[in-house]
Amino acid sequence: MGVGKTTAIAAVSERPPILTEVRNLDTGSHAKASTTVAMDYGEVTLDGGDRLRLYGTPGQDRFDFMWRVVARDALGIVVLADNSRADPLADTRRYLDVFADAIGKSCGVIGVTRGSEHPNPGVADYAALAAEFELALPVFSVDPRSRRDVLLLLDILFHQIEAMDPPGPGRSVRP
Amino acid sequence: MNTEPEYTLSVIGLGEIERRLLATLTRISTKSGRRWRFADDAATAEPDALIIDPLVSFAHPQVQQALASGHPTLVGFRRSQLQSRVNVLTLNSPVRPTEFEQLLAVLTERLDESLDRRRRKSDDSGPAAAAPPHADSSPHDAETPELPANLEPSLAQAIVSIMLEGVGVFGLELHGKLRLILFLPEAYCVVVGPANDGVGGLVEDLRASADAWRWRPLDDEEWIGNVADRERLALATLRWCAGLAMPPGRLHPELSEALAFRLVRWPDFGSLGGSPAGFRLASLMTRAPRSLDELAAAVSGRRGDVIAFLNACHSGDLLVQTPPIVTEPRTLGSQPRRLAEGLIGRLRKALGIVAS
Repeated sequence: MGVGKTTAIAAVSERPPILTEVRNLDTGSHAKASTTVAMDYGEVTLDGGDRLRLYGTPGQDRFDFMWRVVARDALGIVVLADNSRADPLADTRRYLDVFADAIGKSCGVIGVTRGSEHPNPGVADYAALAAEFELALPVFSVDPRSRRDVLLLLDILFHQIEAMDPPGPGRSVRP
Repeated sequence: MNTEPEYTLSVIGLGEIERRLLATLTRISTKSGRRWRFADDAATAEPDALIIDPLVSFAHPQVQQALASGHPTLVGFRRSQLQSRVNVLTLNSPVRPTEFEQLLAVLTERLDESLDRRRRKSDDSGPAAAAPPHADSSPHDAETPELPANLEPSLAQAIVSIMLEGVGVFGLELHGKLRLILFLPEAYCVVVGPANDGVGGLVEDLRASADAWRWRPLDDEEWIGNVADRERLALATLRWCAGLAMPPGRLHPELSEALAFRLVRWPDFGSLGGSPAGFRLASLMTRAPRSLDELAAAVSGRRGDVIAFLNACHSGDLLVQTPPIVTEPRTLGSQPRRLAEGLIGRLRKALGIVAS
């Protein structure tokens, strides 16, 4: 919670994102004033009218039933880790427990937020954690308020999608 | 019989007339006992001393090749309007014979001292250490598992690059075993740490690479006062730089072109420097093992860039080699192209991301 998912989606959405923010009553967990309770939604319109849909899922455990739903058929998954949390590696481990399989089948990237004020754990620690799940994930320090940083996360994801294994014999992929 | 060694002098970036003048002066020099020969091609001559024009970048392949092949002592050529690239030893333009004679005498003295040091080290350490420092026969490898074999020369090379390009104060702390401060442009180094504590080979390589620099012991107070509070450069970054500093176009000796390469971890983002080609190569190599040819095809045939990337990944311990997987040569290049032209290309366009 409070990692910057809502902010990140707002940074790239071409329309005001649909937010499901309510007043945060769990101030013991995080001091932010509001938090996401359903999901955030943003859009980017492509040539031809297709739309890229960006979903942000609530981070709290009690919403974990939504995580797998959103991850199904996703092209890629961005995991944002808030380095100001008490144990951000444990948080990330929890997300990887759920998403490692989906990331393995598609691709993923870890963005570490608030790293400038809270340098530990470092990106290498997150990379090592991902390696425990047999994932070689890119890990970057990002500011979710920065459109440039969010676009960079997405671009890394795009590079990985492009690098996905070419089709094997007997399969065909049409452009 | 005169058994004194002969040395080679070369230049990079000087004009034809200046080259001819230096060649002539070298031939007729007397103070250095006529122990110098002039070589016009610095890249292949393995020079003992190298005079560099202030307009030449140290990133120039010819300079890199010369530095890698012979670890020459560098001399900065100083023109009236341009500061010398090297601040330890300089030669002014226009060149005066007396000044050039003095330079050769100083170079001779320094190189003789360096040779003596290496001989003494060789005598002390026995046959195992008899090879020149940059041949990496270091007996310290077994004591320093953190430093992959063959890394020390390129690591030294990376540090020397920092020395040559930088202005200010740089500190290096290596696993608590070595501390090094570079004061630039005053251009001397202070070093602490026993020579045989596992990084002795690196220190020797550094000495050989930057022989003209002054070396002296360093105490804790000096370390704390100068660099302790400064921003730290991770060893991983330095190792990455060390890989990049290897001779251009040549794979690390421990890598085989016949094998495929897979990344076990992504390189540090700072090391990639926002390079789309770096992102692309890293993405490809984390998905599956890729051959050198496949990787080169994926970045528009820039084979040299791929080799530098592989060397850096290897130096950073991010790379494994596997037997090659036979794939159709076109598939790797064509699949991303199809995607790029399709969904991903449209996504990039819509988001305003410049395609790589």
